[in-house]
Amino acid sequence: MTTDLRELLHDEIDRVIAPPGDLDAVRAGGQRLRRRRGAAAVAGAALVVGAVVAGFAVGGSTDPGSERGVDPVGRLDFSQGLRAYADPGEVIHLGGREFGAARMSYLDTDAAATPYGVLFYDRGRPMLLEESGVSVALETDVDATRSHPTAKADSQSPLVAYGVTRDGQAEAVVRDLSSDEQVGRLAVPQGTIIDALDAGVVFLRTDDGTTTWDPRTGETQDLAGPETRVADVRNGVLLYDGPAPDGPAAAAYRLVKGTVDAQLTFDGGHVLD
Amino acid sequence: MHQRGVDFDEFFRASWPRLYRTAYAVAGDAASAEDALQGAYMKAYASWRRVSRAEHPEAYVRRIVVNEILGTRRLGWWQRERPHAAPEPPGRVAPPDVGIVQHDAVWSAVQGLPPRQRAVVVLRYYEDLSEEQIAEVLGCSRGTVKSQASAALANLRRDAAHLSIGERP
Repeated sequence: MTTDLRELLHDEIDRVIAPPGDLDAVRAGGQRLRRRRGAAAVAGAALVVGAVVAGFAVGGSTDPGSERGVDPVGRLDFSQGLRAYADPGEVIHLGGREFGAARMSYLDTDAAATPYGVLFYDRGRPMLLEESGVSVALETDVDATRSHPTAKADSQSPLVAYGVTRDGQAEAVVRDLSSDEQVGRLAVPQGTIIDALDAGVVFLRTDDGTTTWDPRTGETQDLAGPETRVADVRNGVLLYDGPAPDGPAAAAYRLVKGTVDAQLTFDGGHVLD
Repeated sequence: MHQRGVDFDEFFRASWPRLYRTAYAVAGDAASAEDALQGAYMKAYASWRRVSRAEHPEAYVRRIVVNEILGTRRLGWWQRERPHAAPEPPGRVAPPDVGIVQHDAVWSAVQGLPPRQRAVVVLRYYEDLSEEQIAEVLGCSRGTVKSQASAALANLRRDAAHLSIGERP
């Protein structure tokens, strides 16, 4: 005699009687979550790293600049994972479809593909182009700017890191796309660049050097001086250019020297030059 | 079924019992299942405008629930606070064939699987999800799902030699 796994699971699980769900508590809790997002409290103390870098240049202009099209593009196919690549200036291949590059000028090299969609910026505001083909704003109440922040996706978790400007203050934000929850938010100097995101740790660069920020604990640590550039970090492997990182944060990583435009495979096992 | 624009209250009432059972099977105890489910619905409510536009809002909540349960175990507090013997969930109907020892042995073996393996088994053989869909729920590759499923079945066969894996035609 054998026991069929599928039948057994249905036998056991289907006869579990669900307790009534507490809709009022859910609504109240959901409203609290909304309020917390709205309040967008800055997590931890402000990171004291100075300087301005072009990539996150929020200094000055809040001119929204030219309108860019983020109209729905029709359903995409993420069933095999999101495949996104481009023939620069010509065709963008995205979720099993092809688009003229001009139609999606907002999907530039700073856009980040994730299993949940493509993170990009529309006039400085982070957006997520979802499988439905609809682009949704990840943040409300942020400034429209001409800034062009960087965005990074974590290959180890459903997290993304991006930059926003709110009332003139630059902030780095980490969000869990699987739950649409903010994990952490940090006030940063204008011009801070997000160089990498690995296992939830963000690598922030200013003219003074590179610092790590763990949004779960709020802890920041120095990683490297201004001559060092972090090219990529994946699965605990840190690819850098310039002098080797020698700050306290460096001890947690396997350091691999490379060129600034190189990348690591998601498992950190290989360098893609 | 496409559920665009569905009302949250209606969605909650319709999906709660189904998702509770899945959460219970993955978590292995009623309290963890209810906590994870409650938290997941709160998140869904907070983002309802976005969630309700998704093709399958229920899949969105299920993904949060499963990862909440697995994440809780990964963080470790669950192991410290979970009672040694999880109490029988309330309102559980006695099975008609409680005397079948093999049946109970297999269910015990399922409950004894490591959390991620148990989640893969529940999603595959109870929820009838494909490997791709499971990979999406767990936020991992299809290869990882395959290896977890393979390890789970090997464990189950070791602990319950009379197990058969029935596949849908």
